[in-house]
Amino acid sequence: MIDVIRSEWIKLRTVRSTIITLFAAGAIVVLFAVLSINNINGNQNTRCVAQGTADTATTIPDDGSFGVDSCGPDATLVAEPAVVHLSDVTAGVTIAAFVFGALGVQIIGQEYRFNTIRPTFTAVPHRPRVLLAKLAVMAASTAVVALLMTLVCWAIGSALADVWAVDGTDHRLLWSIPLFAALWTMGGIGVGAIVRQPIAGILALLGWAFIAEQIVGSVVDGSARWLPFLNGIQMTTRVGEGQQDVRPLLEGGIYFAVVCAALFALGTVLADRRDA
Amino acid sequence: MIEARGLTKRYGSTVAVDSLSFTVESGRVTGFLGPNGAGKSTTMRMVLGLDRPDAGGVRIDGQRMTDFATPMRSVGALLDAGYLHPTRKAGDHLWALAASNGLPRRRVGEVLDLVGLGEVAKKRVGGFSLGMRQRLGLAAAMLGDPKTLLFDEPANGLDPEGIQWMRRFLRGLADQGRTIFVSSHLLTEMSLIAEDLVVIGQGHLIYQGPVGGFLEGAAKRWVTVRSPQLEAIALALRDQGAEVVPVAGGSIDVVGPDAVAIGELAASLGATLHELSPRQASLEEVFLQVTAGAQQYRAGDGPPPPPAPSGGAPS
Repeated sequence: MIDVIRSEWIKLRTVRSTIITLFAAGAIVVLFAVLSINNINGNQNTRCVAQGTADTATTIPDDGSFGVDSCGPDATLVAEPAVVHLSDVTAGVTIAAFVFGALGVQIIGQEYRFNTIRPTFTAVPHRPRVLLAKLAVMAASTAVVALLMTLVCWAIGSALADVWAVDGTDHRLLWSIPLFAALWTMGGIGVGAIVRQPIAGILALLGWAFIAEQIVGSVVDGSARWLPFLNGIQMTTRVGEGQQDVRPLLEGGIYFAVVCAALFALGTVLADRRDA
Repeated sequence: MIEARGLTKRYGSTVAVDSLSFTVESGRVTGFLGPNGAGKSTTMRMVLGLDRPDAGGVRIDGQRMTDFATPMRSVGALLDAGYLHPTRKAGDHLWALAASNGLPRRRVGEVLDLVGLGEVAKKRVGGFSLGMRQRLGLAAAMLGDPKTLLFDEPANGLDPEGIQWMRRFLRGLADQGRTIFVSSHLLTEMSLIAEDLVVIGQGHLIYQGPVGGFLEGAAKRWVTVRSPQLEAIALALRDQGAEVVPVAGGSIDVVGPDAVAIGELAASLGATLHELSPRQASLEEVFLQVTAGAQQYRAGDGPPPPPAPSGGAPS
């Protein structure tokens, strides 16, 4: 099995498009981090302080066009620079998440597209081993890249934010974002093995996550808790920021993991049974 | 040794391979012949475990493909030269394959040198010619230095020089005592390389055995006779029960007696012989003869296949 993993690692490293895709995803994350910080740095938190009690707190732009811009006679308006959390600057990871899924589709779909799956399965006739090796290599790679991206966001945030703060949720993102990346990659490999066409697989994944789930979640009441991507994407955000009524974080994460694992299992069974 | 027993493959209502059984003997070159659509490539893929047979099975040296811990050390194959990722370098393509079977990286350089591609190891295969891809495919097959090798139409698309090179290469492998199973539609090429033949048509076995046996068993033999006393010779031959076919140009093709008997007869008649040529159909002619009716795709127009004898075909 180690040999097969080594082989898949060599394959991953020796195709230019994979490396370019990973770097592109990294660039997107950094770009979004910088833009988010620039946006928040222009804001201020204002609050009215009266007899030692904060009456309200909100964020208003410098021009004071909305939010609390005046206080009662017994209170004083206090303006402070807005606080930037890690969770505020990792929005690009959502886009990168799509890229990770696409990479999962690609690593198996391209083998079918270029028929390299035949030499691969001739060299390793135990096909589930090939799929598992691809999963190990891709999931580990995307998880590591996701962790690096998150750490880069952290570095950018602490360097550029006027007020930088890290709380328990931010610490959770350090592992939950890489975990989401690994799971989403697993789902992508499953879809790739089922569809056996990289473009069709990527479109299926895109359509599922960013179109079908968004529409169904918005239109059908109570459906969000059954939509795996919406439940899983919580792992990359501060819980409560989501727009739909999804499952709690842990439950939603497990549900997402089960769906991704089921896709991978189905893809593996089909790859094993079908003619190569 | 490759042993196929009762191999059957269906695609919907089409039976591509039907209860096909054959044996490829160890240490010999066995040609795999059949017209287009006969099921050769499907059979090759089933031998390698790539296509799942609906019935039957294949053993290579007594084992299924899935029984080999490191299959590339036992079986090498070149099914199609195009099975490559265009942006991957030649050396990397082989390196990934070698790694999957725990083969050392130095084998990559060795097999690239073996096929004459040592200088392009760091080139991306997208820019390779068909001939270079064929050589790279051969290099991949040779990575594990396997005892059994399968090649599906290895000379396909090669120029004459490439075909000669391929012939020498396969011959060299055979001389090393390897088991070689090679399909080809270049029948003349096959007669130069193969010792045994497996011939199929529409998924059925038509012949298995030595090349010579195929020619002798299926081929028509005849003798071409040219003489100023041709009518007298023809009459005497017919009296003896021989089949005589007049051929344009003043000769006859005789089926039945051999050249010695015809010569003796001519001498007894006092006839002068200008030509007395024993003839036998070429492998190609025999192949067309035995697979007649077993061709899935056949041209509707155009010139007919060459007749068995030199002029008019005795039947």
